[in-house]
Amino acid sequence: MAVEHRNELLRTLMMAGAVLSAGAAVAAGLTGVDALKDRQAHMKEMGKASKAIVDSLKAGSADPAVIKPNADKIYTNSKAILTWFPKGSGPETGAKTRALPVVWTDQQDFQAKAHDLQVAAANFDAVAGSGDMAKVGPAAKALGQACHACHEKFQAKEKDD
Amino acid sequence: MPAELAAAEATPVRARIWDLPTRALHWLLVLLIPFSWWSATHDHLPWHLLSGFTILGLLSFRLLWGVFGSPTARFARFLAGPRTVAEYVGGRLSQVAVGHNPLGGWSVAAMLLALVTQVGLGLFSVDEDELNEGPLSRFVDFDTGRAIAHWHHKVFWVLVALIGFHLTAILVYALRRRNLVGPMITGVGRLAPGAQAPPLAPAWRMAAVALVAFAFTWIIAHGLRLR
Repeated sequence: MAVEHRNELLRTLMMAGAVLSAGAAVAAGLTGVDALKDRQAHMKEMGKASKAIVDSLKAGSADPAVIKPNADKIYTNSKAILTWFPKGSGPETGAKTRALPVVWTDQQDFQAKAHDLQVAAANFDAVAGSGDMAKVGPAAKALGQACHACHEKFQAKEKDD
Repeated sequence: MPAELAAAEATPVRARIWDLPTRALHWLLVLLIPFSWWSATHDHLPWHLLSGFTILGLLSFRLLWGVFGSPTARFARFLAGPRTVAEYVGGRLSQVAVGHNPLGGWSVAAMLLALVTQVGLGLFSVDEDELNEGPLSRFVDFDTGRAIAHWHHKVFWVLVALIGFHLTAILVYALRRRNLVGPMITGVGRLAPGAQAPPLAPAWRMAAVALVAFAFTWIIAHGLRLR
């Protein structure tokens, strides 16, 4: 029953996601290589924000002045992430990209993982201002795992070039 | 055939050449270098980091042991000048000291240098998901840390090339009926006639050096956190 309910919810979300994805990509007007470059810039922005958060935690503090703005940035980006992958912005552009074709052939799982990221980013954003290491630490780890879960399947490993 | 080999074959005298820490360290690296590669390429980054910290500890020990250790482990003793290396390669060296030969000494130094570089790069590497970055990555920015991660991937192949050279050398000596692997396991090998068995560093010195290496590694692995 609970599983069924979750599946139902997921289906609705995915449909919403697909509509949103198509809609926003059109709205942004980016296709092909432009969409690819835009996506990479956004991903880098998220990477930098994540690093700022982890650096603060590693230095031994959950400084809200550092963590909160970066958490906001990640959360905002996570909500837009499905719009960064319009059809035709993958390896077929001929541009250098580590996005795998499976992004577009397994949209169901891709959207589910994007949704997991949004949940993790929302949870993180909710505790980011607390300054409490005990809350921020585990939420940051969960967020990193959401990034990783998607990259593991949908992103090619780095080549040594 | 170098004179040393001919002489040693004439009258084999056996003695302890390699002390225990040098041998243990060697074989641990034989296990940990492939493990580090495997764990990195199979998405087991937490294990990769642990393996890297262990290698950092071993390297710290080895560098100190190269100054305070048994004679055959000391850099000052096994790093020969270019003329000695050339004479050895040309088979014109009449007396070769016990331990690393003049060419082998530099091979060891090159492998140690590559490993130090590799571990150093790993410490500052930034990982895209911010789950398994190096403990010192907070001292560099995102782009620098990513560039360092790329170099970390490349230097590995330099290390592989140097290990390939090392293994080839072992094979070449084996074909000349000189076993280099046995002494690295048992510590006991042939001495040239008239050569003195090298003394071994006392155990207390090994313990002291291990303690310093461990403390250093602990502080680095914890990202120099002072709080």
